[in-house]
Amino acid sequence: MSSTSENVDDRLSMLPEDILSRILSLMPTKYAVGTSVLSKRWRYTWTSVTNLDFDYTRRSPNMITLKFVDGNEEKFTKFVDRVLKFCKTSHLNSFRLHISSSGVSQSSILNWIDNAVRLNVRELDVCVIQSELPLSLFTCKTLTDLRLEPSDCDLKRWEFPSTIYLPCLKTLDIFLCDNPLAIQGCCPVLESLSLNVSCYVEQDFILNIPTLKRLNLLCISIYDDDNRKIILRLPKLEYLFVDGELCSLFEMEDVSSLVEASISCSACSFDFMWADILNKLRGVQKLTIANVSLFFFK
Amino acid sequence: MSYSKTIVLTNYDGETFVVDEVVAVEPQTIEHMIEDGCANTSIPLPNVTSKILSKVIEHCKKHVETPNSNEKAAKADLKSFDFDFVKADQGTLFDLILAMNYLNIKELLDLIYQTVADMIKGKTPEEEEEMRRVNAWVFSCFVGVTCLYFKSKKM
Repeated sequence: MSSTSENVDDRLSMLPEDILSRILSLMPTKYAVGTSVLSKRWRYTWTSVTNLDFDYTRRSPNMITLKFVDGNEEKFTKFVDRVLKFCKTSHLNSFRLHISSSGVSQSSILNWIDNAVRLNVRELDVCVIQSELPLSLFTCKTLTDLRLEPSDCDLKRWEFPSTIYLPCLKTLDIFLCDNPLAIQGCCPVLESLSLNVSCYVEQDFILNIPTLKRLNLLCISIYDDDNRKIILRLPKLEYLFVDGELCSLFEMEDVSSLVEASISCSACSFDFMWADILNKLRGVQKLTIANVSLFFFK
Repeated sequence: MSYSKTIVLTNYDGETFVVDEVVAVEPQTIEHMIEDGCANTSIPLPNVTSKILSKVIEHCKKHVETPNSNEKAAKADLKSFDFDFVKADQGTLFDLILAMNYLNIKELLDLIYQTVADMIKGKTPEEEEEMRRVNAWVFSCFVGVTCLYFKSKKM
C-alpha cells in the first residue's frame, strides 16, 4: 500500500541457516527441495535438512494403500537419488519412504534405505511393496524407531535375517514379518513393540523381552483348533493392546507393572478365551474391552 | 499465587519488565543466566522488542499457571492457547522466531517452526491465484513456496 512497505527486508531469507534447516525439515522433502527455485540464497539451503520424507502412494478412500504404476517412477527415482546425493547431514533424524507403485525398482529402494543407514538415521518409516530389506538396516547402531508397514493387502511378510543387532532401538512396529521372534535378545533397550502373531507352525508364541513397556499384538488365527499359547514374559510391561481374533490362550508370567490393557477383538475362537484373558488382567488399573468387527472386513 | 522473588528484564528499547522468577526461568537462556549469577540487577535482552517480550512473558505465565496435571481439559486449554499464540501476522512470527531462538523456549519454537513450514507448503487457492497474476514468471509447481517468499518481502 504505502511506499515504505516496498523496501523492507525479506525476513524469511534472513533467518539463520540452522533455523531454516529446522523449518525445511518439517515438511515433505519435495517442498523443501522446491525452495531451491526461490533465489541463489535458497538454492542449496534445503541440503541441510535433517528429515527426509518421500511419498509415492495412492490411497483408497478408507486409507488403504493401492498398487499402481503411473509412469512417473523414473522421475521419482531420480529425485530421491539426487536428494540423497546432495543432502549434507551426517545425522539423519528421520527417513520416511512410502511407495505403493510397483514401478519403483527394488534395487533403488534397497539403495535408499542403505543410504539412510549410512547417514546414521534414527527414525525409519518404510512402507513399500517389496519385502526385502538391506542387511545393513538390521545392524544400524543409531536406529531408535523402526516402522515397517506393508504397502498392499497381500499379507506379504518382511524378510528378517538371522543376524540382528539394534542397540538403540526403542520402538519397533512390524505388521507382518516372517520371523517376529528373531528380534528377541537383539534389541537391548526395546520399549515398544507392535507385531502380529500368526505363525504357520503350531507352537507356542513366547515373547521374552525384559525391557518392554508397551506391546501391541495383532492375532490372526490360522487353524480352527488352535492350541497355541501366547506366553508373555514381560516384567516391565505397562500397556498391552490385543487386536484381531482372540484365538489363543494367554499366559502372562508377571503383570505387576501393567497399568492399562485393551482387548478389542473381532472374533473369538472359544468363549472361555475371553474369560481366561479377563481373569488374567484382573489387577489392571484401566481395562478397555471391545468386541469389534472391523479389522477383517477391509 | 504469590512468589517470593522477582526478576527484572530490560529489553531492546530500554523498557523494564518485572516478572516472577518462576515465570522468568521458563526460557532456558534466562534460567542459565540466573544460575550463573548474572541476574542480580536486571537481565538485558537487547535482541527483543517490548511487543515481543510482553508476548513471550504472556506465554511463559500461561504455561507456569496451568497446573502440571494429566487432566485433559488443562492440556487442551494449553494447546489451544499455543495454537492461538502462533496465529500472528508474519512480521510478528519472524520476530518471535528470533526471540524464541535467543531465549531458547523449545516447545514453542517447534510449534512456530511447524507453522512456518505449513505456510511454505500450504497456501489458499486465492493466494495462489494472486501469485500467478502478479508474478507470471513463477514456476507453476512451486507457487506455494514462492508465495510465502514474496509475502515476506512485502512486509
